Amino acid sequence: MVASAEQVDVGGVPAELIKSKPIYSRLWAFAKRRPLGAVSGVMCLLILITAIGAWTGAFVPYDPIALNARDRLAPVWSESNDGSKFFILGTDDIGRDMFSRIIEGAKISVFFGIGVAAIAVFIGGFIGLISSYIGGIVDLIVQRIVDALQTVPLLVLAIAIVSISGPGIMKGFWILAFLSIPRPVRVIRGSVLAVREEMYIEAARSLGATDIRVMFRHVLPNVMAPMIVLASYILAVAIIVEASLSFLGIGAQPPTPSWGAMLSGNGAVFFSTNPRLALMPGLAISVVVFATNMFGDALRDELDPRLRGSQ
Amino acid sequence: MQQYIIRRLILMIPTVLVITIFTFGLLRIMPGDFIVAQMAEARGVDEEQMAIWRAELGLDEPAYTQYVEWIGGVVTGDWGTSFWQNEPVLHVIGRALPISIELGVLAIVIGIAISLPIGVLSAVRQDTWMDYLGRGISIAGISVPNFFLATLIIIYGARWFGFFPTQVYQNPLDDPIANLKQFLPGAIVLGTALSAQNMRMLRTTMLETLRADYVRTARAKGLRESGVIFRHAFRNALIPVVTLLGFQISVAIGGSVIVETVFGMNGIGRNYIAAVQQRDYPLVQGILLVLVSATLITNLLVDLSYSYLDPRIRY
Repeated sequence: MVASAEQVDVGGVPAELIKSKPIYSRLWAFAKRRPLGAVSGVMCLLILITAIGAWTGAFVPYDPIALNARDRLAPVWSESNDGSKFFILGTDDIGRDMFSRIIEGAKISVFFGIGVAAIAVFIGGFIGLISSYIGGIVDLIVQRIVDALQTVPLLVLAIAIVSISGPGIMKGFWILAFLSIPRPVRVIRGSVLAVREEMYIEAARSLGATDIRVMFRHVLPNVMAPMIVLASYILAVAIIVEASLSFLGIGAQPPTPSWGAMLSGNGAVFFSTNPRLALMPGLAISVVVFATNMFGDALRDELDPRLRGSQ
Repeated sequence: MQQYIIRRLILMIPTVLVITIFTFGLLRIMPGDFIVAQMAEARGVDEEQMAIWRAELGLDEPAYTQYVEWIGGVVTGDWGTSFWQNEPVLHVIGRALPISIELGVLAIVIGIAISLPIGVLSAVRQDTWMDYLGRGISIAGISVPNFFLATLIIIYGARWFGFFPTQVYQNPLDDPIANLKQFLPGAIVLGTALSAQNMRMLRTTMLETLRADYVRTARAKGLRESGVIFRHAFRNALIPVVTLLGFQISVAIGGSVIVETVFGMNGIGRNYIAAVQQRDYPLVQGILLVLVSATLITNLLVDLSYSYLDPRIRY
C-alpha cells in the first residue's frame, strides 16, 4: 500500500486512485451511487438533530404537557385565544401544543430506539462473538437459550412481561433491550463461523495470538457489517414496539407524549372531526421508521459485496 | 428421512416441557393472582373468603403440585377451566383459534401475493425505477405501524366506501361474503407488513442467485430469460424466504394482538393478553402450549421443505 503523500504510480495505476480520498468526496460518491440511501441518510440526520434539539429544549416552543383548556382543538397554524402563542400544528383536545408534543415524541422514540439497538447489538454481538468462536458446549447452551427466547413473537412476550412488571416507558425499554439480544447473537454467529475458518485466522494463531486477541483484532472487524445493518433494523422495530405498547396503554404513561399514546386515546376518539390529532403522530412514526429502514437497506447494499448492482 | 422426522418430533417434547415449566414459574412469580385481579373491582372482601376461593381454584397448593396436576390433565385432555371465563380452556381456545388461523392464513396469502411479483421484479431490474418503487413500497409497508393503518382503514373505509362490517363473528361456511368483509381489513393490515419482509428477503436472495454460475450457464445455453429466472434462480432463492414464511406463520397463528384489538375480533392474541392481565393461569398456559407447539411443528415443516426445494439437502 502506498502512503497517501507520495505521488507514485504502482503497476500502471495512477496515484490519484491509490491515495485515499477526502471524506466529503467519498460521501458524494456514495450519494451518487445510492440516491435512496443518501436521501434517507439525510432524513435520519435531521431526525437525530430534532431529537437532540428536543432534549436540550431548543425546538420545543411550549410545554408539551401543560394544559390549556381555552385553546382546545386549535387548527393548524393558528394563534391562541389571547394572542400570546402561535400554534404551528394546532392543539389537541386539552389545549396542548401539537408541535411541541410531536417534537418531544421524537426525542422519546429516537433515544428509545437508539438505546435498545445499541444495547442489543453490543451485548448480543459480544455474547455471539465469544460463543460462536469458542464453540463446543458453551455455544450449544447459548444457542438453545437464544432459540427458546425467539420462539415466542416479540410483541407477545413483551406484553406478557410488561404485565408482570407494570407499565412504564423505562421498564419497556429494558424489557425490549433484553428481548432484542437474541437476534444479534444469531446474526453474528453466521459471520463468525465463516470467518473462523479463514487463512488469516490460522496465520494469527500460528504466530501465537491468544484467543482474545484473535477474536477482537481479527474476527470482529470482519463481522461488523451485518451488525450495523441489524442495528438499524432493531432501531426501527424498537420504535414500532414502543409505539404499540404505548398504544395499548402499557408503555409510556400519560402525560408523556409518546407518538403511540397520542394515536390511541384522544387521537381515535376525535378522529372524525379532527383527524390531525391522530394523523400527525402516525405520520411521524411512519416517516422515522421509513427513513431508518431505507438507510439500513442502503448500508447493507453498500457493505455486502455480493449484491453490487449495475456498477 | 423418516427417522429424522421421528427424532425431531421426540425432541419437541422436552422443549415444550421446558417452556411450559418456564411460563408456569413466570406466572407464579407475577405479583398478585387471579383473586387479587378480581378484587380490584369489588371491595371489602376479607382474607377468609379469598382463601376459600383460592382453595376452590386450587391455587393454595404448592407450585409443583399444581404443575404436575396440570400436565396430567393436559395429557388426558382436560386442560383446566379458565378462571376468568368460567369455561373449559379447550372451549375458549376452540372458539378463538379458528378466528386467528383464518386471519393469519389470509394475511399470509396476501403477503405472498404482493411480495413475490414485486420481489422478483425488483431483483431482475435492480437499480431501475421499478426497483426503487418496489423497495419504497415494501419499506413503507413495514414502516407504517399496523395500529395506525388499522385505524385509517376503519375510519376511511367507513367514510369513503361505506364499509361497516359487523362485529359478531360470521361463520365462513354460512356466509362467506360477510366473513370476508370482517377479516379482509385485518388481513390487509397484517399482510402488507408480512409482504414487505418477504419482498426484501426475496430481492436479496434473488440477487445472489442471479449471479451464480449455474445461472450463467443457463443463459449461455440460450435459455429464455424467463426460464432462467423461474426455473433456476427463483427456486433456490426461495429457501430463505420459506424460512421467513415459517416464522411468519407462527407469528400469524399467535394472533396479532393489535389487529385483533383494533378490529374487535375475539382471537387468540386478544384472549391471551386479557388472560395474562387477569392472571388466568389455565388459559394462559393453554394458549402458550398451543402457540409453542404450532411454532415447533411449523419449524419442522419448514426444514422438511428445504429438501424439496433443494435436492442436495437430505436428512
